[in-house]
Amino acid sequence: MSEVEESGPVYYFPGDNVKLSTVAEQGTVRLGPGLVHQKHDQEDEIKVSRAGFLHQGAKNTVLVDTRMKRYVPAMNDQVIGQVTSRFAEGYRVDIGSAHSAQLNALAFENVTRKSKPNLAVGSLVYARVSLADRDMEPELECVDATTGKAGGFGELKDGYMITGLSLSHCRNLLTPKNALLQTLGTYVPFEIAVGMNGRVWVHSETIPTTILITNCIKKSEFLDDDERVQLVKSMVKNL
Amino acid sequence: MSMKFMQKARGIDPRQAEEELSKPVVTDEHWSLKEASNVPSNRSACKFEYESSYGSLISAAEDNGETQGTVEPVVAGRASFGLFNKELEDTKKESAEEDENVDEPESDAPYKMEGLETTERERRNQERLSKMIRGKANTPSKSHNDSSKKRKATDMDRDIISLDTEKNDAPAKPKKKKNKNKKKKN
Repeated sequence: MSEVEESGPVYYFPGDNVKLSTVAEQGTVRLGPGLVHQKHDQEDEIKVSRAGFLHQGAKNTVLVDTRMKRYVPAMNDQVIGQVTSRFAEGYRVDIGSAHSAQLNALAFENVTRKSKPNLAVGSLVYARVSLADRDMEPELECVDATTGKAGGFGELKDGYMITGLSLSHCRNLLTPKNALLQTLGTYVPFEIAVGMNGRVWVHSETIPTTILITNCIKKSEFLDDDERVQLVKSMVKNL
Repeated sequence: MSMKFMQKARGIDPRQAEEELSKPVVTDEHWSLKEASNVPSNRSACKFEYESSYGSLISAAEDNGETQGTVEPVVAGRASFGLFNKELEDTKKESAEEDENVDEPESDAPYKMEGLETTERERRNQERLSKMIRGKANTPSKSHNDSSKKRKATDMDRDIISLDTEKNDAPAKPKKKKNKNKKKKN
């Protein structure tokens, strides 16, 4: 029986060890979600706690890209939320986590106590998680932390929100060289906001084009770049 | 009598007696290794930090032998294609210009759509305009020594422009009436 040749990325299961020599020999190692550091016989070990593909980035960063749909709020995550209730100081926003988040009415650009934004119940908001702790409700801000400006955060008017996407698919959509969005942009003008909580907001000129973009995003999760381009072309032809 | 307060009368210091008793006890309980230099230290060469968010971690990848896949940098999640939201594209263009300090060579295109997503229509328009401009620039200038075309004397006079030329034989253009009225007033 011929030997099976392994090609491409390897899938790690919980309990597998990652060789520290492949990551770094000195300096600081940043472990992302899905990885745990242990010491065994005075030797450092990195163990995988979640199943997924291993990714290594710059500055000795290692993480496991897991396909999961349950969102756990983390600091500086960009999320799409829906206003569920409003009170004097702010709003309560549903971001798909176990607890609903709080959005302060003054957490917007160029806002004073006299000029506050007026968000209705049910409106969509693109915000950044400013506080995330497992014992407290998460807090949101519609202001960029570095510049102090909106920078794309704020209310999302009109359009359509796609829910039920996996978090890994949303992270893939956030990359600048995403073939799907680049190809769609050449055929159809549209606007998109991708949240790291498994939600995507799409806004285009007509309803058929919005449906086209939505279907393309939903069907392209397990496809390659070439297959995504072909999918977009076939969907545009049928439109 | 072996009470402590009675030891001084005998000339015995109780503190010194206790220290002498405790010395052999400490030395017996004290463990030491003969080859201490060969013992590995408990400190690790690397420091480990935990990150709870994916957004701050995903960055440019380094190609290693055992790494799986490449990770591309994360961009703000809001984007516009085909000039659908001009304000958003303008802000992105400004931020891209601030971040990048690239000296690009000048192109012949009449419009530069740097860092913007363009539709096919816009690209075709750009190409048409650039071709038109190039076509106008490459048209050959008319030469006076071309004997194939016979030109009239009036055409020659019109082409030559100099301060020393005599007045043309062509009829003078009629003056405007407004000037005459102004002269009369003066």
